[in-house]
Amino acid sequence: MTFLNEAVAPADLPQLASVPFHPLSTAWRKVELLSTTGWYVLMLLGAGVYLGANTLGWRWWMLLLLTWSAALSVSLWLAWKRWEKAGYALRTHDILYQEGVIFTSRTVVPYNRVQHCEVSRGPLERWTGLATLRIYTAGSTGGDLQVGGLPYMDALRIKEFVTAQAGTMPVASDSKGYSGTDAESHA
Amino acid sequence: MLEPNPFPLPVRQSPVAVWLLMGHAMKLLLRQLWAVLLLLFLRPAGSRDSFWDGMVLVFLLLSTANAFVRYFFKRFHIRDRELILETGWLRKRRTLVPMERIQTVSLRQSVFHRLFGVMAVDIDTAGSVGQEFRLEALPPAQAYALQRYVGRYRTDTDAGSTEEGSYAANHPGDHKDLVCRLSHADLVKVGLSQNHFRTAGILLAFLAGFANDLIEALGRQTVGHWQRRLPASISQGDLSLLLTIGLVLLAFSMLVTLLRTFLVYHGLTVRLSRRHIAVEAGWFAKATTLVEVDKIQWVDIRSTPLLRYFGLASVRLPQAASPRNLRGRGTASVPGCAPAGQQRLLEAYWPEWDPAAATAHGVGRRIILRQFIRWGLLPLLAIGLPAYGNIPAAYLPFVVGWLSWSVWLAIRYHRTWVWETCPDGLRVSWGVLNRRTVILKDHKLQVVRLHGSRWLHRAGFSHLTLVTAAGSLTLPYLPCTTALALADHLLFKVASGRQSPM
Repeated sequence: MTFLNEAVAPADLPQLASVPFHPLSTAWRKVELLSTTGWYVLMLLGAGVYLGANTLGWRWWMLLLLTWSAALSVSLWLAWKRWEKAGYALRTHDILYQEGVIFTSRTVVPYNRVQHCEVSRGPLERWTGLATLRIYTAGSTGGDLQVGGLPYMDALRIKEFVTAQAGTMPVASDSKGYSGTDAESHA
Repeated sequence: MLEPNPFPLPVRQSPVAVWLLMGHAMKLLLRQLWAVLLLLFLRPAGSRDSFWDGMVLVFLLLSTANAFVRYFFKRFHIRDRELILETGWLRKRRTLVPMERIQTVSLRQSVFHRLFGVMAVDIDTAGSVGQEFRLEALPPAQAYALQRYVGRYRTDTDAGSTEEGSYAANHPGDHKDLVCRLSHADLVKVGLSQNHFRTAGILLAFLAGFANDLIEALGRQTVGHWQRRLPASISQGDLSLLLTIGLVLLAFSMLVTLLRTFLVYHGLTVRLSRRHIAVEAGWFAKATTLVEVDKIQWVDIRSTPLLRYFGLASVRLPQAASPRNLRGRGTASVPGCAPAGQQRLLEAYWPEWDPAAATAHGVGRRIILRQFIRWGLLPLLAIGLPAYGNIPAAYLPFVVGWLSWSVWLAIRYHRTWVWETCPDGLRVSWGVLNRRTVILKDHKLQVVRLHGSRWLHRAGFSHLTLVTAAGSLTLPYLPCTTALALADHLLFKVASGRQSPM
C-alpha cells in the first residue's frame, strides 16, 4: 500500500495570479501595425480596381472611405492592444504566455511536459530581427504554445533554457515512462 | 525475459496485401467520385463513348501497378529497440519507431481479411504529425507475435524485472480477467439507446443531397414525370404525410443503428490483466485493441436517458494518440458497460481512487444564461428570423413553452455540473439528458489554460481548460480565484510529480 505524506511549504506553491509578464518586442508592434495597414491599403486598392473609379458617385466613395478608415482605426487599436496584453513569463517549473484583447487566454506549459521547441523566422521577422518560438507538448488539441514577436537572440536563449529545463526535469528525461515504483520508494 | 525477436530481418507482409491495396484504391475512388460514377452509369445509352471507359481502365491498371509496387517495396523488421519500416520505390523512406514510443498496436480484420485469413496491424506513436505505421496484411500468428512483442517489451523494460504475471495475457484471447461481455440483449439495448434523431437527420441530409444529384443526372423532365405520378399530397407538403415520412425515417435509422451496433460490437469482450486492457469486438470485421493501463489518459463515462434506464453506460478509455487517431483505434471503448464493469475499469486506471476523499464543487450560475441562449433563444431565432418575425399568434404558447422549458433545462444543467478534487486528480460530471463523467489523474496533464472573454473576467469568472495527450477538458465559469487556485494546485502536482503522463 502506498502512503505519501510529503510536507509542503505554502510559500513554495506557485501562484499564477502574481506572475510578472515580460512584454513582447516593440518591433513586433510596429510589424503588426504596418502589416494591418498594408492589408487595408491592399483591400482599398482591390475595391478601387473592382468597382472602377467612375462607376461610383463621389458620395459613395466618401462613404466607402469613411467605413474603411473606421475599420482601419479599430484594427490598429486592436493590434496595439494585442501587443499590450501579450506577454510571456518563465518560472522555475513552467513557461506562461498570455494573449487576447476580447477573448483572453493564459496558457501554462510545465517544462517536464515539453517534447521539443523550435524557433522560426519569416521574411518580415528576419527583416525586423524578430522570431517566433514554438513549444510542443504531447497535448492533442491546443497542446502547443506559440510566442511570436520575440527578439531573435531572446527566442534562442529561451529555447535553450526551456530545452535544458525539459531535459533536467524528472519526467521528461525518463523516456522509459512511469515504472510504478517511484512513489513506493519514498514510503 | 524478452522473448526472441520475431522479426530480426526485413520481411514483406503477406502477398494478400496486394489485393487489399487494390481494394483500398477502389474504395477511395468510390468514396471520392461516387457522384461522377453514378452520372456515368446513369447517362443515356446513346451518349456512351469510349473515353470514360478508357479512363476507368487506365485507373484500374495504375492502381494495380501501385498496389504491386507498394507491396514489394514495403518491408519491416525489429532491431535495437526500434521498429523499422522501409517503403517506397523511387522515393525511399525509412521510418524508425523506438519501442518505448509505441502507444498502441491494434489488429483489425475486415471481411476480406477474414476471407484471406490475415490481419491488419496499426501502430500509433502519438506523434504530433500523426505518422502512422500500418501493415495491411499479416498472418494472424505474426500479427499477434508483433503485438505481444511490443507489449511485452514495454512491460519488461518498465518493470526492470520478470515479475510473475508481468503480462499475464500474452495473447488477447488468453486474458484471464473478464471485465465485461456484451450479450445479444445488451447489444439490442445499446443499439436502441443511440441518438436516432441524429442518425435520421444525417440520413435525411444524405438523401436530400443525393436527390439533388439524381435530379440533375436524370434531367428535370424525368423527375417532373415521376412527381406527377406520386400522390399530390407530397408535392403540396401535407403535414400528416410529412410526419409519416419522418417516423418511417426514424424507424429506418433505428434499424440501421441496430444493425451497425451488431456488426461493430458483436461479441464484445473486455479483459483486464495487470497492465493491459484488451477489447475485442466485431462480427464480420473483427478488431482487437490492446491498451496499456498506464497510458490511458482519462476515463470517460457517458450515458443517454435510455442507456441509464437499462442500467448501462458507455465507457471510453482514450490513450495518448496522434490527432488523426484520437477518435479511432487507440481508444478502448465499451458502448454498454454495467456499473460493476465501470468500477473495474476505473480501478484499473486509478487504483487509489477513493470517493470519500473527494471534495465537491460547482460552477458559476452564469452558465445558466449561456445555456438559455444556446438552447432557448438561438433555436427560436433560427426559426423566427426566416419568417421575418411574423410568427402567428397560434404559435405563441409554443414559444412561451419552449422558453420556459429551456430556462428549466439551463438551471438543471447548472446543478448537474460537479467537479471533485481528490488527492491525485479530478472527477468532473455534467449533463441533464446526456450525462458525462470524466475522471482524470493530475499527472496526465500537459498544458493548463485559463481563458474567457473580457466580460466574463470582469464578472469574476474564467474557464479552465486542462489539455491531455488524448484531448482536453474544460471546466467552465469558475470564479477567477477558484480557477487560479485550481490551476496552481494542478501545476504544482505536475511539476512535483514523477509519473510519466504517457
